[in-house]
Amino acid sequence: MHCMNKLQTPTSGTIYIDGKNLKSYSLKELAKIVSFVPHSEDTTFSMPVLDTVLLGRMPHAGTIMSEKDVRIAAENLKLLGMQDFAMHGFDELSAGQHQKVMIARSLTQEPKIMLLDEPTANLDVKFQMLVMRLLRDVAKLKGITVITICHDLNVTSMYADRVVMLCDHRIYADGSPKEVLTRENIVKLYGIDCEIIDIQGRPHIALLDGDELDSHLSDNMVSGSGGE
Amino acid sequence: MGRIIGKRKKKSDISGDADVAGMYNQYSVFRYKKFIAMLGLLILLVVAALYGMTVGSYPISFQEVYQVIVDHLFDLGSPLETTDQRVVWEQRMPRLLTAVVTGAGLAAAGAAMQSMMKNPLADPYTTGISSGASFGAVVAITLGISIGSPQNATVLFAFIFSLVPATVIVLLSTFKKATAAMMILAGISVMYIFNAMTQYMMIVSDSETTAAAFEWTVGTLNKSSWTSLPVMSAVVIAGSVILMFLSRYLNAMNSGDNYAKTVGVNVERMRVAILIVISIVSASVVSFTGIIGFVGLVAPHITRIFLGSDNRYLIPGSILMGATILVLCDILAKSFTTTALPIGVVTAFVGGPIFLFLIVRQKKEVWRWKSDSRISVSHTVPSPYSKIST
Repeated sequence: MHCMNKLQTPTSGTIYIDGKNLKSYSLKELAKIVSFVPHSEDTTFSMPVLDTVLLGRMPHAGTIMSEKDVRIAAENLKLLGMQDFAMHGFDELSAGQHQKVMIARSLTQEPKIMLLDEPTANLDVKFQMLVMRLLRDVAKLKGITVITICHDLNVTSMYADRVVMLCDHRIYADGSPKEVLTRENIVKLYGIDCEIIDIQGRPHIALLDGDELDSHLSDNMVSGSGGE
Repeated sequence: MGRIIGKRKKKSDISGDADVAGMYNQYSVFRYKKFIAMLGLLILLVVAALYGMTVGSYPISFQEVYQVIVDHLFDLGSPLETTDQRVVWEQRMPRLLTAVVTGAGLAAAGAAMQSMMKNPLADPYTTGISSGASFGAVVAITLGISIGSPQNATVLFAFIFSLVPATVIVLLSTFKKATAAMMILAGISVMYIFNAMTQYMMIVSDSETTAAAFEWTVGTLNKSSWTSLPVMSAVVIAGSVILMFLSRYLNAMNSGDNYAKTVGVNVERMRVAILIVISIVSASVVSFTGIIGFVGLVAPHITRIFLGSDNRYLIPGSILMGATILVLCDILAKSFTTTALPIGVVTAFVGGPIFLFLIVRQKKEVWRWKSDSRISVSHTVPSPYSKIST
């Protein structure tokens, strides 16, 4: 993912965005097309939420934000139901609200592609589903391609249109959740046995505890003595 | 459309626009308040400066000071005849303006340095500017170098050597990523080298020279004159304007290097550029006044309490705040002592307790330490899957 927005340079291969080689984009040109949501907020000196969202206008606007810029930011905050927090400090919010603000900020960039680095990582189950649902809806509403990294197979299965499974830095499988999230692939990739159940037309993965994992644990843990 | 996005849909579309309009209005009020706060700071500075002109060891009444100023302003070419006139125009005026320019320059540099390094402990001297300047001055003084006059040599040497740490960092950045940590660590190493050399120079020279060299390092406004002002002011004004222009990039960098890159900011290059501006501004101030500590650290923090951390307001606010603090400290230095107390001593002595008070009194934290800012379980515990798959 970091290769897709020029944070890292790929060691081999070429990335094309809109049929144009990524290398020929400047950072600013790319910022108008691709936006990024980091996995957690990383601010030291906190600003009000609306000003934080306005950072998304950077590639488009000058030093002074125009009325239009502020309105776009405000609309996106409203879209995520954060209108009551516009003038709150960013550091006053919860992790789920941070995620919403960062998504609003990313939308304010008016991208064609949105990249999210584990948007559900620090969230509880409710917020995980909330954020993923919101991303799916936003993608449809605004016609944006949303690409996320996700380690939760069931969340992926529930909300993704297309799943790309990576193994050893290579694409292992690519297709719809039904095609990719199979028992065979999961056993091969993670070494964990599982059962696939069909829920709401999508695969639901129930992981099974087994002895396969023991080889990765220390002897102490396996013997179950665990200390004194 | 899903339920989450449509959550507010139960209200009519007009009220939907009202939400946006409401936020826009709130934001306008917010910006207006910042503007008023800055205006307040400006008024405070002007009042402090007007009062500062009337304070000094030579007794001149309030009216007489302004009589002199007004008279001379209408007739700038006229020679300064009375002692009153000379004290006001040749001592107090340049001293006041030096205080304003010095405070403004150090505070602007400090605010930019804190935002750039994402570190509330950073100040203009973080990258070793002060140690470089001290070394330059000590070299000029102990070796008795003179360019026109010994003072000129001291200023020039201090200026040149204060830029060495920044130069080292810029050179390092060509083959190592210019991260905040790299800059701070490189700055500290250069600082130790310079300090060691300064100490050596002072030890091997005689006690009179050592005293003179040491005296230089304590920041003072006593050396202020009309001749040093133009250079200082030009650099500080130019630097401040550039920093204000770059403030939005500083804001983006505050959200993390990776994020800043994805909104189109070339973070490493920007950081080096800002470092160069900060270094030149502080170097030009330090080489004329010596090391005035604390203003560059404290002025931005006090400003943050009133104006918030948005660099677009913080930098101009800090400029006004820094100038005001130095003018006030100079008033204190002049009114409580008969000898010329160096302002570097006053700023630290007065600023320290005030800053402590502000930290204790403040309910809302303006800045946070990185270590407790988040608990990220998923990234602190390595995933076992990665090993299993191999």
